[in-house]
Amino acid sequence: MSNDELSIDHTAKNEPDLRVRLGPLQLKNPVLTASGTFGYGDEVRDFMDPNVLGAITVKGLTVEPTSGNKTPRIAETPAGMLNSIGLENPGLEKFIEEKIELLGEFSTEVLVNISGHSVEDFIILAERLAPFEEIAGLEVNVSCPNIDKGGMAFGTDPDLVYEITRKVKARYDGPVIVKLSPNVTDIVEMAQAADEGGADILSLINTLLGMAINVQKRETVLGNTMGGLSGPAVKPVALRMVYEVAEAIDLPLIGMGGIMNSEDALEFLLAGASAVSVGTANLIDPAASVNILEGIINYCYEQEIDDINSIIGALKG
Amino acid sequence: MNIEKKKPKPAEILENKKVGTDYYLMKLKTDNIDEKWTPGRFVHLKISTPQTYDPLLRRPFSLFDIDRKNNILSLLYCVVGRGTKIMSRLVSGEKLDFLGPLGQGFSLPEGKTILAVGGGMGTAPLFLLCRELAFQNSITLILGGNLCTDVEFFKHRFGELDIDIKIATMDGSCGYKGTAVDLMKKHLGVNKDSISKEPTSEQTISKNLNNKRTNDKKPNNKRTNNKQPNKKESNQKEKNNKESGSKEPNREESIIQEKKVKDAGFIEQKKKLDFLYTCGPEIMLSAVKKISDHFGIPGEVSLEERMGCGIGICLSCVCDTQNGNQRVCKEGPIFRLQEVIL
Repeated sequence: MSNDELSIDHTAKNEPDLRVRLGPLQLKNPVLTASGTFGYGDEVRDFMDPNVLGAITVKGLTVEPTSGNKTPRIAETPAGMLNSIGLENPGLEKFIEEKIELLGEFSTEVLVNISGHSVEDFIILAERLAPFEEIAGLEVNVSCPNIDKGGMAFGTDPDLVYEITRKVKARYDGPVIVKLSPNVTDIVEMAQAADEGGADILSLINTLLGMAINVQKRETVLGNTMGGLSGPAVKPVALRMVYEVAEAIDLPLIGMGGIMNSEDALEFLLAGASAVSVGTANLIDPAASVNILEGIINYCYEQEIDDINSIIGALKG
Repeated sequence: MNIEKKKPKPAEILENKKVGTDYYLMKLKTDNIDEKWTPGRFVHLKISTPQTYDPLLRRPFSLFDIDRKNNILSLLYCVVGRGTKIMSRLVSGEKLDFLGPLGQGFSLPEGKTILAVGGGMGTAPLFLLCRELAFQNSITLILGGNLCTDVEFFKHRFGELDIDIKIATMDGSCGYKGTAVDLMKKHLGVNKDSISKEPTSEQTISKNLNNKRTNDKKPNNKRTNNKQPNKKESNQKEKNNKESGSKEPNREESIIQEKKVKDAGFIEQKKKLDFLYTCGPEIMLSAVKKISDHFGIPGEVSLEERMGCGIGICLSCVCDTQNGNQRVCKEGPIFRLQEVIL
């Protein structure tokens, strides 16, 4: 990508170097899309070019085809939204058959988010996806319910986070990103567990579990009762967690949670994330991630920043 | 890369006024309303001012009307929640942005006899449809509402078009007393109670074929194949039907006979009907679908569901169809009546 393609102010001096390195994953810039908010990348082509981004993360994948939860699957809340999509996806084999080749056509990096209902599911996904060069890395979603343990999310148990990370890592040679759930008392404990399990990168945060009630109908708004909160409402929580993990753990981080504009994204970089993922904002403006990238570049010009890496974790004081 | 392409399109409010008890009409000026703007498609409107995110999500609105010459888009909406409440307070001159037109539109046939059935606010997408189809098709519109005031605006606007309008209100204050579906059955000459729990369209077709075959050979077995619960009159009706042959039946008999003939796989309605369009409350859509399936009348339905992105990425607005989950925003909002599971 050349910066000429973006809407930026060229009056300033040096073109900033936006490349970031997240362990084994080298990206041309630090703006990514969050899983589940960008489809498989092709749905948004009328609105923007996904290839200008550092990477795209595609819809969460499970071993079996999943039809998802009943509707309503989305509820607007103050400065946020709840979703309970229920990981609707075509399943591993159909994904390989129908999607991988198309993903290979992107010139940017493609990360695949994997979800399981048992440790075994993660093993199957990692093994089966390992040979595909179209995939730049796996993002392991540990926020879904663990059927073997009564539906409690894997991501709330450090032993399970460790076990899943280790087993995926043993079967997948490429970069393994563990996406942490914020629905825990101590996020650093979970980050440590993923680190010990061999994670290359951590991404945080997933959605915060929430609910909404329609008082007229005396019914929950979501068909599935509870759902994940995202959007501007969660940003301060996400930022705090990124900051805490960055201070404690020596792993590259992808920060996400309510990033709507470039200022939000820069906050995450300053808090210690090496890259950011844009999620809910894609639903409101499918070109949001590109606008955020443009804003970051303009900030670099304004602040005379030659290398984006110089602002990562660069809070003063 | 074309930067313009990526941006949601700006629109300026020309007019935003109350046009009925709960109905508001918003006219928006935008650029380039071209041939992509077809009936049944929708726009995804950002209610919050630029760079702000409250309300966070866009709101989908079907195209009520468009003025291609002057690039004006009309949206009809009901105040049902926070977003539409905020929307109702916006004044002319304010600017909004939208994505669209999005989704798939209605099919646009020529030279057909068409019945459109709209319930309440669901009638909105049928206006542009009827306006664009009225020149080359014969259209009857059935308008349903609880009260006269629910249908008044539509009655007035649809009155501009060269179509036949029939009105049903629950309290009988306007037109027929009853539901739009009751009036539809009356219009089609269908026995009010004759259509109950129905199989899906494909099953209906095969059932009808079976019935037809069975009837050709041994008409006495018809009842075992026909799962229609015709209640106490059924025996008599069947007898009439079987015996009537080609004789000209009276009005009552005609209705009965038509139904039976249709059950046997023939489509020979008293009112010839080529195509159905419908939009409205789900209970109404479900009843219209049953009639459509029962008589094998093809049709299309405009579905509504809570949406996130409007462009097919978030999978919030799925509906159940014979082809599995489909996205209302992407594969819809217009679906074949035969395909949806309501």
